[in-house]
Amino acid sequence: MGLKSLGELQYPEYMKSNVNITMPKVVNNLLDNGDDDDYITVHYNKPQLDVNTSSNNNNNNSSSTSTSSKNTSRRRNVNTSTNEINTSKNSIPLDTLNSNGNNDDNDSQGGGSGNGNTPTGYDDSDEEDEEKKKRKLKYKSDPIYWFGVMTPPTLKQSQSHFKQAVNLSIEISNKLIKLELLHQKYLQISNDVDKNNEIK
Amino acid sequence: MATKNITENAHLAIIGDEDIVTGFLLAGVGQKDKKKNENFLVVDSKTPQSKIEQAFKTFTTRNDIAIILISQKIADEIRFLIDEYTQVIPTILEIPSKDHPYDPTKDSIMLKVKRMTGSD
Repeated sequence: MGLKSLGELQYPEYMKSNVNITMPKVVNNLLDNGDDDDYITVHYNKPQLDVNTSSNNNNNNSSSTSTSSKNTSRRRNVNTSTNEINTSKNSIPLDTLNSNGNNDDNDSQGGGSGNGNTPTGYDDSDEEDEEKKKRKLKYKSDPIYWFGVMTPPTLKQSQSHFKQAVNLSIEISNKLIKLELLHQKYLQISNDVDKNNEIK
Repeated sequence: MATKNITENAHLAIIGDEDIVTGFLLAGVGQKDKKKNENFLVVDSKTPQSKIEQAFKTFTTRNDIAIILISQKIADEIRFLIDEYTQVIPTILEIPSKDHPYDPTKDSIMLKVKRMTGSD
């Protein structure tokens, strides 16, 4: 996958930042913004938003697939009770389905194997593909998944802290820019005053 | 209202030790394209000063970088460059690192504020 190591961390070779910063190209004459202090603004990129929405969707999807998998498991139970021949084939996917309740990440895999083995498999392959795509996008866009699938809560906490730090640094930069512009204005005015004094 | 030339999709640049860089990359500010242009530089004890200077100069001349975050310890090493720097954007913020606590007497912003307000 073209991963490079940064210490122990594996990070992708091409990165696109999730943070979208808007800044003015030319800073001169910006002081007449009035009360608007936001020279630099930040908002999180659409992929980031997509992550949130897709994660919600994923939750919905996973719940729906889990219910559907429950349905199929019921069907399979019926199958196993009626067709004793199929029990040997069904035993493995049933195990995976049981584990699905514990781990949502295995949903697609378990469903896929179930699809291959049972003739009564559900027709959610398209939905699953979408879900896989969304999940892929989620893995790609959120850097926390560089650290693996099961990330500890402390890591998530530190991620949110660093996001806070980004927002804070934007705030500080705005203050800094305003300070600089005020300083320039002050120098200009004091120069004018000096000239006036010389004329007098 | 002044007409502003707005640059969208600007980035933060980070110069710091591995923990700082990893943290900010985790927040999603990392950028790296096919030409291997990165917006971050990991500095450890082996990194030569020329490389830091080079990175700082590239970050200040790139037009898609709005803020440069630099660890205060590294900022001390290239202090002459930071003192020379007069542009408003990108702004340079000095941040503390894990091994080196923040020292307000060295911070260029604090010095600037003190000079402007005339207080000691």
